[in-house]
Amino acid sequence: MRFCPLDSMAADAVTSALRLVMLDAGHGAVEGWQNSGAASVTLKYIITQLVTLAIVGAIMGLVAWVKILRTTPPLDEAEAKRRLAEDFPQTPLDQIWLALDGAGAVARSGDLALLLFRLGDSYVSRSMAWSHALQAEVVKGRFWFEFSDFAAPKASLALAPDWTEAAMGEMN
Amino acid sequence: MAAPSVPAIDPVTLAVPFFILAIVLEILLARLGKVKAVYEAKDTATSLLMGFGSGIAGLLTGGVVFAASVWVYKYHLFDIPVSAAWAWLAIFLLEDFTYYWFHRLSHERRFWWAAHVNHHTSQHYNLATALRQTWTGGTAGTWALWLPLSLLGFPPAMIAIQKGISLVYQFWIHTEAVRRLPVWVEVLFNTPSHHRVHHARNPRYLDSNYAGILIIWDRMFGTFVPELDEEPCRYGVVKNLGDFNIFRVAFHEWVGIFSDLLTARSLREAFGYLFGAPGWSPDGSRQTSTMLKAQWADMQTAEPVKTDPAAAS
Repeated sequence: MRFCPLDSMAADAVTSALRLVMLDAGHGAVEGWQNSGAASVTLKYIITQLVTLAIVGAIMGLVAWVKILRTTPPLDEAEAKRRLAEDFPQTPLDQIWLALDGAGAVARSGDLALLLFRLGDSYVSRSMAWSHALQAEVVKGRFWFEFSDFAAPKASLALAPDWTEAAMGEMN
Repeated sequence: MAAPSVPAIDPVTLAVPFFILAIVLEILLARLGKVKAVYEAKDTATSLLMGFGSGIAGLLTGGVVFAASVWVYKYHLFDIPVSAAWAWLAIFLLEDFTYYWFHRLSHERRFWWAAHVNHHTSQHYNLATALRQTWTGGTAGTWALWLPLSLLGFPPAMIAIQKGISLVYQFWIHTEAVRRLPVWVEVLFNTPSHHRVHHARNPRYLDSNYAGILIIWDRMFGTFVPELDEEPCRYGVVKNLGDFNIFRVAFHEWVGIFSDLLTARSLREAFGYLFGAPGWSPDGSRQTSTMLKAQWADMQTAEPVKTDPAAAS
């Protein structure tokens, strides 16, 4: 296994730190440990992983700082319909309700509820039985929809507080 | 017979500083408006942590994989000289050919898709996406596809180096910063344009452009689809994930397979859930890529719709 110069520098730094911590002034404890092949490889591996994680953190910080996100303005009806049509082609919509914050929508198509919800600067969609959607739990003003799908187990939308009544009215 | 001496070079390890610099450069140039690139913090974190985890997972199976190639090499058919230029040209072509079929299998059969899908779960396409690598590829066993190369007589280290070169090559094509390259490059090589198509979830683009380095395999085997300016790529999978949880990214399709197997009513169904096309179901209630493409083609025939590039995201 090879290591980049950055790793070697980090390995030296850790060795120096160990000397300080273990007060290793000539007793050779650190050197002995360091000279055992397995310990050396393990140490270098751990250091490599720590350096990698530090780099991951730095890049995440940079990304959060520069803000080069996709533009996701609040959804209007046309945009919500366009996005749903991409994921559910040839599925006519009977009615659509937008989330109050514009971060999603619920649409009805016969016995199906089609849901669109924001994830980061993108959207995710799922469908579920309409009758199941009407049973969404409301927690702190948000409707929680649960899917039987490990890939997207649940979604929450800030729908109008009387959405269930409105949706049931639409159903009748 | 012992394997001939091959310098211990790991192209991927050597390229790591380049990966980091390239990602930082792409981010900064996009911030300055010089190139097109979109980064979302949680999505980027997911990609990078998947890459980190992939390295650890690779350790667990790497030894077995290498031992298997060394064992097969004991029975090699030809003595291939490591120092010959023709041998490197041959391993380049054969490894790339093997990669094409590995990649195609990883998309078209659910068991191997489960190991590969994580690489496609980002709705973004940038250099960080390239690092969203598998945690379960070693367990899925696709490495066995490279064993015939050892049997032919290519030393395992030589194969490993070429696999590394391929992986490094494929890093830089995960970008929207490069639109099109000169025609001869687009004809011969896998390019950012070709690979954007591969990562797209538009029905038109599904299951295409499996190439590693050379796009010629897709052209030869009928899986090449060009990128069209009038239909911008929408990235991700057909059913995108509901959050950024890296364990969900790594294992969701495996969980899906397991759940389906519990409901299988026959061996045929179990086989279909395991080795059918992703999206296969006994009653056809789910959609495979082939079905989605057919549905899309029907819609085009019935009512040609022009896509507005400005409206796509």
